Amino acid sequence: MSTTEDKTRKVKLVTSDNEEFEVDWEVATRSVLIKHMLEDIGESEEQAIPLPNVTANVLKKVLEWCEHHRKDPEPAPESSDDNRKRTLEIGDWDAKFIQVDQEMLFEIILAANYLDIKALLDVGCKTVANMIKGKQPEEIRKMFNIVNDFTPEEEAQIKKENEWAEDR
Amino acid sequence: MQISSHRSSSVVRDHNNLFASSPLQKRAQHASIGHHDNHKQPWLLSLPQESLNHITKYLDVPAFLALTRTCSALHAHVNEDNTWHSAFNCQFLGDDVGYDARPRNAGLLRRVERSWMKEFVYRSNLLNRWERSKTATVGHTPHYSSIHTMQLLADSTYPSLLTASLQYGVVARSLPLTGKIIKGYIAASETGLGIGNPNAEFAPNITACAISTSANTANTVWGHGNGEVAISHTTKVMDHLKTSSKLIRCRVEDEHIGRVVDIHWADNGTHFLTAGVDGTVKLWRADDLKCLWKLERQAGTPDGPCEKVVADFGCGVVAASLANGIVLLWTNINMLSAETDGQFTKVASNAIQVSLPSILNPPEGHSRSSCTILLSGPTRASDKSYFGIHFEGEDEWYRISLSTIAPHACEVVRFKGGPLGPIRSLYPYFSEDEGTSIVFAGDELGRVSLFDWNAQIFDSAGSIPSFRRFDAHDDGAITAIACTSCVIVTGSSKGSTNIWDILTFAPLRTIPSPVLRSNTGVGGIIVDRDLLIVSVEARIVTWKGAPVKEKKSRTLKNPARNKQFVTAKWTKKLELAKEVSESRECLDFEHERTQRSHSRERAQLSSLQSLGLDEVEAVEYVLMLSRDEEEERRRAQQRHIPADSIFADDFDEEMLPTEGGLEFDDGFRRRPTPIPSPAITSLQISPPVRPEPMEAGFSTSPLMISDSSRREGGLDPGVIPPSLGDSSHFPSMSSTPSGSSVSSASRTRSISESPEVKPSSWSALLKDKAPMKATTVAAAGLASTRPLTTSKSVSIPKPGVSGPSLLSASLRKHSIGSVTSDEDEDLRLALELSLAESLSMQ
Repeated sequence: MSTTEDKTRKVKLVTSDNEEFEVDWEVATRSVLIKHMLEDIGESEEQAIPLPNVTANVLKKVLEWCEHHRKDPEPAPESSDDNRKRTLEIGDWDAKFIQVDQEMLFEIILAANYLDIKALLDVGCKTVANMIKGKQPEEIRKMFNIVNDFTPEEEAQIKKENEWAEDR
Repeated sequence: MQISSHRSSSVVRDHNNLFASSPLQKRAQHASIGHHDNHKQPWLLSLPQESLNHITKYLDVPAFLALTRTCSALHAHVNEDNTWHSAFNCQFLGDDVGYDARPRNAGLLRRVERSWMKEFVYRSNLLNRWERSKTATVGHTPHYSSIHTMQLLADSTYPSLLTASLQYGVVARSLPLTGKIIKGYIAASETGLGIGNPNAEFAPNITACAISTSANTANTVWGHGNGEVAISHTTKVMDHLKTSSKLIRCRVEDEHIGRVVDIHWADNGTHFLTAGVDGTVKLWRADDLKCLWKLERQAGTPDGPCEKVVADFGCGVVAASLANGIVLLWTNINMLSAETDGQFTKVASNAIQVSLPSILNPPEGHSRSSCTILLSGPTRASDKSYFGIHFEGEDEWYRISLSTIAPHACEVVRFKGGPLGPIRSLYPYFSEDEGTSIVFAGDELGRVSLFDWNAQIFDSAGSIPSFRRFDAHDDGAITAIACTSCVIVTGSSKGSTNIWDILTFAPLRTIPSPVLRSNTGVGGIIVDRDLLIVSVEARIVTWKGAPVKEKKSRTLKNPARNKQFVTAKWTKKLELAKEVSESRECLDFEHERTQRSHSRERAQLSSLQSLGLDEVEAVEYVLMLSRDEEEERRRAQQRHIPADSIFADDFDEEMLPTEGGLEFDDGFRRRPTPIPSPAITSLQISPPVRPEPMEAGFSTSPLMISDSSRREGGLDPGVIPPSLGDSSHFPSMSSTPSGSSVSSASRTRSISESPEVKPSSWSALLKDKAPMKATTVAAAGLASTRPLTTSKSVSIPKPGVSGPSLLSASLRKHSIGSVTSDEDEDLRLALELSLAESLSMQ
């Protein structure tokens, strides 16, 4: 609607730990959630947007991403690449950006999910998928602190169940 | 405002709900409670289901299998079909959006398995094989001439192949995976199975051949050039020792009159149809080669040879195409009833004639040539029967739909839009159930277009465009297409084969041509699961995928081996790397070049197509423009600089001989030759090369008139009909007297062939510049030797306006003398002119 005048507009965001962020309208609206909220609030700019599910340090990271991708065009579904591999690739900047500890990665995924930032969610999930790929079950357990709750019999059975799927 | 708060809060609530209700999370809590010593949370398990799904949709099969063995929570997640479904959508259908929207590639999906899990695994493993399997291709040459058809033996555990050659009239048997060729041919003559000697075992005059196989037997129908139809029943085909082959010939009265052009087997292999050049179609029983039915034309049907025949036996419809775009359809042909009462001729059948519309925007001089492809396919409605037809050299094809209830209701639908050039191959990919039936069309420029077979048209004038297209080859036309539920295989006219993922169109593999400089390209493709058989001329290439081994085992072995010959290996490696990079550069360069030219061509064609022009029209338009421009320019020059106009006219003369296409090369040879005089060079302007014709029809140029008049011996130039330029009209080189002082052959030619031009221009020039001192000398010198020329040219009233008139004036005198003396005179004149010019320069 009035996107041109919105360029200079600032948006206030309040995190769960009561920290306040003031960001450009364009940056904040990378999040579909915030965008919808802003549309509903309308012109009353003073109102800060509460984000009860996001902490300050996570939001900082998310906003860093939004800042970098502020100019990205909306991904058109028609132009999405046909190549199977291309869908699994991560951009250079994003790859560097996502090099964080697991705790943070997890928080980013949750925040992206909550804030409805699809591209960031994709980056996060692809990163996790890449962590899982090419690993043995034991390695995955170790990486994600997963406790093996199978009995040896169960384990053997699952292994047997899945033999059909291996390309022989 | 109101709505807003609702929405935002609902999002939050949803999120919390997911969080709370996630079974994974519960399990995770369980696990973490059970193991308090764990200092970190297993956060992967505490993710909401939705996000975990998002992660797992990027995984491949090994990762899924590893994940399912980690813990029971993830095992449960992986066991859910929805997990696999979203992974399938993401990785194969290119659908990253959501579940509700129908992914755009879904029309091409043919599910093999029931569950998404199995489907995903099946497809990934197969694609993995196609893409990464390192097995080499196996080639063999079963025939000495190019292969007409090939057939994979059905129900055979080990693939065995039958290939037919028309030229020799034999069928060879081979094992494509090993390249072993079994001795002896199934021949159309009664020699039986020999040892495979091509000089002794062959049957000439075979014009059509079709193979039908079942279990371990093969039936080969032969159509002879004299109209005879024969069938070879071969049992235990691939068993070298036990094979027996029996040839049955048809009765003489059942033969076609003239060549057999096409054979079509019924799907179950009990019956077949033959079409003859005599325009008849016959239905045969395969067992005893009994001609059951001769399909007659009704009165008033145009005569003409049949070209293709095809049948939809389910609906009892037979279609045959004639050369001039007419398709004949026979309905009510019921084989079963024919079989039971034995009196097939009693079955009533209607013959319907369908004339196909002419193509849109036909190019100049287009006439419909022979039909190349005729196919029958399924329909959505049970009372209809569909046939597809394509004619040679056209970039569109048609679907004829015939209602079997009201048999005279025929509808022809045009499929156009997508192919950039003439279609070279059509491949039907029909689906019996709800999936989209697709026809692939490969065109001259290497593009594959996909058409929806069942598309309905609402506007009778319109046509149906392709819904999807991709550029498959950049080295020529697409001559063959085949596909499975997993891959598309395309073969080019250069003999190379490309394999594509059918859902994403990602390139998987390229098989180079087995034949150097192939003329015909890929003839046929058989593809099955992970087996590929391609025929290029007389050669067969086979590739079979194998399970892809993991890389790990290999990387471990390498260091141990490296220790022994470190230096040698190092230098070798370096050399190898250098060579590889060099050749790769070469290849890249070449590839880029061809691709550039192709893309240019494509771009141009598509832009032309969007303008609604074809190439010929566009060129004509440009020619017209340039001609107008040229004429405009010349007119302007004539108006402003009279001196130049003489030259312009001269150049016009230079160019005229090219009009009579016959002496094109002569005109080309002459044009670049320099005019010999070194003195003239300062003034000379080389004639622009314009090979295109400037005038239509016969020429009325003074040159031609004078030329011919000279030959006819001094007749009035106006009376003699203007002749087209002919090289014989010019004095040939040999006829030139060798007494002239000019030695160089090129000089002689250039002077002797255009003698008429120079005198006129120069005389005009001389006259024009008469007041000037220097040229006066030349003119005087010229006048003393050639009084006739100068006097004639001087007598022209208006200098510099009419070159032709000058020319004709100066040339008319040529008609007085004989041909040979003319040439002498011309030579002398040219020499004198140059002498005078050099004098004036001094």
